[in-house]
Amino acid sequence: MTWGAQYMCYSCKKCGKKYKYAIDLIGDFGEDFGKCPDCGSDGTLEFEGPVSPETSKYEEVE
Amino acid sequence: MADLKALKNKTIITVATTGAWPKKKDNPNVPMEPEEIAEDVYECWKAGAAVAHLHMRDAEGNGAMDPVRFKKTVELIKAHEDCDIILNLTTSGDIHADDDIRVAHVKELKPEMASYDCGSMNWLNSGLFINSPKFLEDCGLLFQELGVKPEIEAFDPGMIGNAAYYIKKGVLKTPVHFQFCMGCANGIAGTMKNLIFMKEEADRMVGASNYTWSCFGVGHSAMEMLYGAVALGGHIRVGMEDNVLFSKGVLAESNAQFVKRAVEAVKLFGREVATPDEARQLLNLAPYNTVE
Repeated sequence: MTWGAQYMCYSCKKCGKKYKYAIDLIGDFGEDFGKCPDCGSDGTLEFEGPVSPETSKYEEVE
Repeated sequence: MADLKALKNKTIITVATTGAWPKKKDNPNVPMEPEEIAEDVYECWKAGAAVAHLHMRDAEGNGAMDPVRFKKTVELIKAHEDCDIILNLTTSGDIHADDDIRVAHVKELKPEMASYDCGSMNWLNSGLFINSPKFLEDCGLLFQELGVKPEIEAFDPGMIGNAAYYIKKGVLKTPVHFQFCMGCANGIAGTMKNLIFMKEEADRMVGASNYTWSCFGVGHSAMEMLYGAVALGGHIRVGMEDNVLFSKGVLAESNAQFVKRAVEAVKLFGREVATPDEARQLLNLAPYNTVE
């Protein structure tokens, strides 16, 4: 029983950007996990979930 | 006794068509109803899958351990008389199901294989996926009694150790078959280093000649685990249970699409795709149609 990648979906506190990180990449991103890919600010965690219409609205950080 | 040397270059492709979680809103091509699942399995068999791992859904699309739906789906698949795919029924299709209902369809249908999740874990950071010692013991002994081969799903190395424990207790019989589930939330990450470690741990705990193995990776690790398994001589699982995206941002069109890509990867590497009969030999299953 599985279900694909899980994401943490954020909005940037500074620029408002909506983005997400896959939790299986926590180790790859390290300290940067959760930060806005555009301005580098900390994000606010909004929700968690798998690939879905909801998480698809958030840009994936890779 | 099968000539396993002659099958050394064969790779078994398992397709996990449905799973318990993704819904039509996540990918409209996930097969949910028995008719859809059966046709999907048939297309995957034609594309090269030797094993089909099946989950059922209720009318609302939620994961369900519904013996009626399992039976209907199995019958619809078997109605294709040319289709000799190995059926592997889940015992973990609803984290709220009790232990009895989790094996009711196995008792009734006696599939060639059924899943055996060799430990408990937090599930998607939101629930519990319980496989108690009693369940694992009862389930292992039941499978032996029924002649059902367990597909031992290991989400982390501890579950391999747990399988070794149940082999020593006589609950599981060698040769066992592992499904290394890589990259799942709360499980081991899907990296090559970890895949090699899982294999080495199985070698150490179970003995290299006492098991076969397959693996899959969810999300980002899907392709790495596919090619990793082929390179390491393992078998592979693909399908929408594990990935609703075919590639970045692209929804899978069908499960057969995943199977076709796996076939291509196997051939490009210089290996061959196992037919269901060859898979039966590799997995130490009885020849097709000899089991009641």
